[in-house]
Amino acid sequence: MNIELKIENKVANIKIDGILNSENAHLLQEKLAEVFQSDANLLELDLFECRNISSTGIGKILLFYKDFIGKGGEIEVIRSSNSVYELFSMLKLNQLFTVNLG
Amino acid sequence: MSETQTRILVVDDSLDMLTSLCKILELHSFLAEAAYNGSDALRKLDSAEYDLILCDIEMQGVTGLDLLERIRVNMERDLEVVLMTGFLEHEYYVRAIQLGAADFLAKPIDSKALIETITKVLSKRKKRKELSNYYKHLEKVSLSLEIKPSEFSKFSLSRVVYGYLNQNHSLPSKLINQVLSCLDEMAYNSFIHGTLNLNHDERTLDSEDLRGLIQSRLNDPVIDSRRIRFSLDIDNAHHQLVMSVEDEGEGFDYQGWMDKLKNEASPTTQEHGRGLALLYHFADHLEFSDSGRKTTVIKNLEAR
Repeated sequence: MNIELKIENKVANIKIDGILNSENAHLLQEKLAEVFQSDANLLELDLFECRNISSTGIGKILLFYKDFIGKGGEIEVIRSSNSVYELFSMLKLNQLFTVNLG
Repeated sequence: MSETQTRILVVDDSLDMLTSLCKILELHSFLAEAAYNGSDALRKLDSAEYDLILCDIEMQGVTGLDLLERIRVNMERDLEVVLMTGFLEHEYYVRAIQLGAADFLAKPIDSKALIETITKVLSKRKKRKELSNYYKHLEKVSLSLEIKPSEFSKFSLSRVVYGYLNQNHSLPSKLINQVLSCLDEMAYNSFIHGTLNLNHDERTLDSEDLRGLIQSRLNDPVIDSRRIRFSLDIDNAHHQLVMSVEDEGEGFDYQGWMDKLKNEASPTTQEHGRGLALLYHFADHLEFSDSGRKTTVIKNLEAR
């Protein structure tokens, strides 16, 4: 699993490749903490190459979401793989933020 | 056309090149189908099965690399892709390898090199499929592991199982993904709750402190004596995949949780019970036994 973070003009972009699970979810948590501490007010998640996300990974995103909207931030999944899109739809996360497929 | 004839999708936006490549392949008894660009190839891939794709990299719109990426990531298809190119920058080459390109052919295409490359790639594919074909015809294939806590924390069980399923069983990628998601929930619970017995405050420590705490627990002889047992059965006779994870912890009130899960319209996103909810929704059948120490997930397999 690989996570890339770029922050530019108050927009943070996190790209996740592979499977985000309980073994590596702390890596996402570290990147999300960097976003929270930055001046970014929009987090774009690129999950096109992310094959799946475990409940631990979902938990990290939801915890961040709660804190981030609390300071006026927004999240958007700009691309997602079929499996992640299905998972986010099943969990109704698309009611919290925009989730785009592919 | 014989049913065993190898089916190749040829993708190039040069009509002359496309026609001549298809002719060469047909002369060597391959069944060649033409796709006039990347988008046309994606449409054809949606409606037919192929053994191999022969694809130009430099195309307008959906390039060869775009096509390879969509096959691997979004369509999750297990087929061989040979890329053709007049030049190849290092960055493109690395990306193509990462995405699992089977081989490369330099343009202009030499027909002898073309047939040799395709034959070599298909031969490797055939060898890879032989073992899974053998397992497919057995009534039942099992993998069983008994893991010490210290070993468990060194190597992810998901990686072990992914490697095992990928190498030995031809299962759809979507099914493998769901099985790995279930396994991650089961293994995490067995390790964190059932073996290390971490409470909520301990589990929510920052990653550095949590790592330190886990290491100190692993040095405890009582915890070191515990075992996590994993089993995976591919039951071809009943078209089922049966996966269990068992620990030696205190168990939990699984009946209460099952009643709650059955009444939820969609899985909860709340911290408490989110993993169980995902298990319940991914499994075709979810079962707890031994006071909740053992979790079993059953996934139905299509007749193979």
